[in-house]
Amino acid sequence: MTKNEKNSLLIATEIAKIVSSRDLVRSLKNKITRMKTKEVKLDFSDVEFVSRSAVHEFLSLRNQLQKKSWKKKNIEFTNTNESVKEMFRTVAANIAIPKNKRLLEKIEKIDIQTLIKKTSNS
Amino acid sequence: MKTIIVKNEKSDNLIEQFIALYLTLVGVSKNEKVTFDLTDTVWLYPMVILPIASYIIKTKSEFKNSKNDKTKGYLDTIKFPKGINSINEFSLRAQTHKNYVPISALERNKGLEREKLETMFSEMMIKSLGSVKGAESAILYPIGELITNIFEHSNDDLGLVFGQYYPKKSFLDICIVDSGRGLRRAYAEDKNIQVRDDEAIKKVLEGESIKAGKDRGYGVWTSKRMVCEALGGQFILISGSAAFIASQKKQKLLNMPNFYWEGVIISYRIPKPAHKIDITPYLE
Repeated sequence: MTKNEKNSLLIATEIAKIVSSRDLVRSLKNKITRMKTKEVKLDFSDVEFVSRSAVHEFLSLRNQLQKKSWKKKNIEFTNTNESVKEMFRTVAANIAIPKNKRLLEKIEKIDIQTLIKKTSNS
Repeated sequence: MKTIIVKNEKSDNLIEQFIALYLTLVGVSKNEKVTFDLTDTVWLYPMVILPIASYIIKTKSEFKNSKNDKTKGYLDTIKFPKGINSINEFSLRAQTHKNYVPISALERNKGLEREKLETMFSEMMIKSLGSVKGAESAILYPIGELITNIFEHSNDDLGLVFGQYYPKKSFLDICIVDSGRGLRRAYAEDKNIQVRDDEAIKKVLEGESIKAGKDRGYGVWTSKRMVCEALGGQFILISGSAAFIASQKKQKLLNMPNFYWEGVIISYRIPKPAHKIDITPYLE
């Protein structure tokens, strides 16, 4: 396990500098559960970007571990850069109050032959 | 075995490439083994190269290389068709060929290595466009979300991603491909919703997630907004017999009879950013 402190996990080392996949975030669960401390810091130093899906998974993981009656963990996200911070805020806000299904406007329906003709004429 | 002659696109326009891909694969039966004849190709763009590479891998089809030495050299450099699946090899290639990023073959079972390979690919893409404040996140968002979709929804164990920056034309082309079950089947199998291919694309754009859960269903739509609105680019998505084409001002949905891509192809073009980009308004 890579730790920069006893109660912290460096995400850039544990996963990568750009974190996209939910499954890799999920895979941190066992490592966090095995940590002896109740307060755990997930350290985002050197992490350049976290995808929306991965942020959602980090929040779900925190929620799951906080609800546990045994080996309960309090997770703190630290050293996040501006874009990572913004992504966490957006996703957390949307979990709290989800947006409605969006209505698509102005989608032109066209068949492929028309597109080919239009493109060759332009 | 049927031979398919791959022709050069008439111009570098992304829609021309889409048409070239359509004309290459129209009439090909499901999983039919073919020979792609690249003999007369002089230049190939990611939107055409990557789906052909994916098709060759899936169906064990064959190809005849270009007779043009430059094109042949390019295809060798990018490791067409199988690509690279290891971070060590990617790193070596990136050092020797600074302007050409190889096809990255992301494998489901490689977990951490897959994520690091995706990181290396993404970093090369950012580097190629230069440093503009905010552009990094706008470029990383679609790559991350669209690759994630492959491993969450497609049921495919392999995703291919490839990008090429054209310094004289000042744009970056990225293509992401899987040969999985496609959007229509994903809705049918996971949500018991029976729709046509074009309706499935529309559902994805409307944010109807294939998987249950809060904050799902944003990936494709927000990626399209990042590409078209934040970065002023073009975005194309193909699944089954339907396609969606979007630019900053126009959106088109089309059916392609006698054409079927089993899986999803996403290709987009980003002009080199000239000014600071704020992605916040696009993060719904």
